[in-house]
Amino acid sequence: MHINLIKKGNLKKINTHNYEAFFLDYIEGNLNESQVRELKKFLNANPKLQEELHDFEEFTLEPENIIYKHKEELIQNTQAKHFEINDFEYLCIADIENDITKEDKNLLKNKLDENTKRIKDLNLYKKTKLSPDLNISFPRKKQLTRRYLPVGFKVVTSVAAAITATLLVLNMSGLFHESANQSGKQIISKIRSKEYKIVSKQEISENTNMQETLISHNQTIKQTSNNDNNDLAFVDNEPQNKGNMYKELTVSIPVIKNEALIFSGYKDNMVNSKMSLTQSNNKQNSKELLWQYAETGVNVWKLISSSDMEMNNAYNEDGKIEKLNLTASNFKISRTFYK
Amino acid sequence: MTVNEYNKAVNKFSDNVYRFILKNIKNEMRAQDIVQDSFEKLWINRKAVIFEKTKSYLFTTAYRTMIDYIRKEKRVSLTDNNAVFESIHEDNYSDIQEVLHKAVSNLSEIQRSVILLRDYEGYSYKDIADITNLNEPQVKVYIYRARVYLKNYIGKIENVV
Repeated sequence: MHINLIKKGNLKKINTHNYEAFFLDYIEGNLNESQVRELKKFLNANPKLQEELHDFEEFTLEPENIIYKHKEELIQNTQAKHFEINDFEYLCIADIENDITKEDKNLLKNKLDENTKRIKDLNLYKKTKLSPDLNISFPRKKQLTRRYLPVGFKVVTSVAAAITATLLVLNMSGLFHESANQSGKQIISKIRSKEYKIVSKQEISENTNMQETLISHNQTIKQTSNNDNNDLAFVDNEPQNKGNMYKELTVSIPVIKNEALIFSGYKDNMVNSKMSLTQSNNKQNSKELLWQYAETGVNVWKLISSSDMEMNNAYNEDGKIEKLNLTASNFKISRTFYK
Repeated sequence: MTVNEYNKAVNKFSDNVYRFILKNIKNEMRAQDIVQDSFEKLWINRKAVIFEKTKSYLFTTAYRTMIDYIRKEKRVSLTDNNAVFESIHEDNYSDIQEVLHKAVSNLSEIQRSVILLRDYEGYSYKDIADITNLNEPQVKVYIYRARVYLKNYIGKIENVV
């Protein structure tokens, strides 16, 4: 590295002890005009040193045009460096990932041409592509599918449920009042069914002479098809009666405190059967019971039909209904019974 | 999403999600539970999920449920390359896919997930990033490194054979 000593002020005047530095600066063009004049004056005084200056000029080196041939191998792809892999690996993976630019594609091609052994590496990378085992399938698929209810059916049944619930809210308290006064009068139903009674457990234990059978929750009901006597039987782990053909039904009765569903024996062959709600001594019980059934019914309906209708009743500590709430996405009915 | 679309999603995507989870945790019953849970969540949120996004929703839900499961089980499957290469001499492989699946099981949990999503489902780096809650460069790095590992694994096997 050349240091311009003269410019830095270390050498002020040329003499026989420092002339080399002046010569060097002169050749490199670092002297100003006055310094050049002084140099020429010095050379005139010392003609032998002119030859030495000429030698200095001849030894000036010109840069050669030398190129390092392995430069490309030293250049690290910034991406490859980021992935802690070498450039060739990066290009192979980018190629199989379809994540390669045209320039990189050409570079990869050049590298493969330079060294054919690299083709084996590229082929190994191609083998790293995974393919799924199509023999593996999800075995619980049927459990996941949901039953599809036709829109018409869903609308009709939703409307029916809503109307029924509304009628219950608006009228049932009066109906029950009447029913209580009539004490034992039956509400005629157009439903083809047997005669049902809903009574309290206490009532059953008091009235042991009733020819009725108590069933518990989730009990199997077996209905005979005997023409002479269409008995409706409730069997709990009872051996099947050989004389009758049984049609088996399973009912799930909502859990209601101190209440049980009683099916009476068949009385006659009337097409329009009767459903009666036998009032217990406590008239209010039947009313609470009905609301509980309504609540359960609406919630069961919600479950099976994916409806957004909900019924949430509020009861006081005595189990008496205080407030009734029936809600859906497009309507809400609320009724307060006790304040 | 309608009921019909939900059922379509069950038929169309349950196998894919199941394969993905099964490959990751290697526990059939648990994989089935995770898939079932994912579809339950889809059903609950069906009104908020559009059908076109169902697949992504399922994979995201299943992946996150799987991660929770792995964390609970404290199953760490970090790769020990030396151990792997020592053991491969004892195994017999019938084809390259078998070798590859063995190698995949040795990948780290996150590398395995991203490469399965990439190869099995053809997801883009961005989609994989969304599912795995990573960013795109991270996904790319995991995939590239996983490929290097798989390539070396296969190479070793081929040399031995």
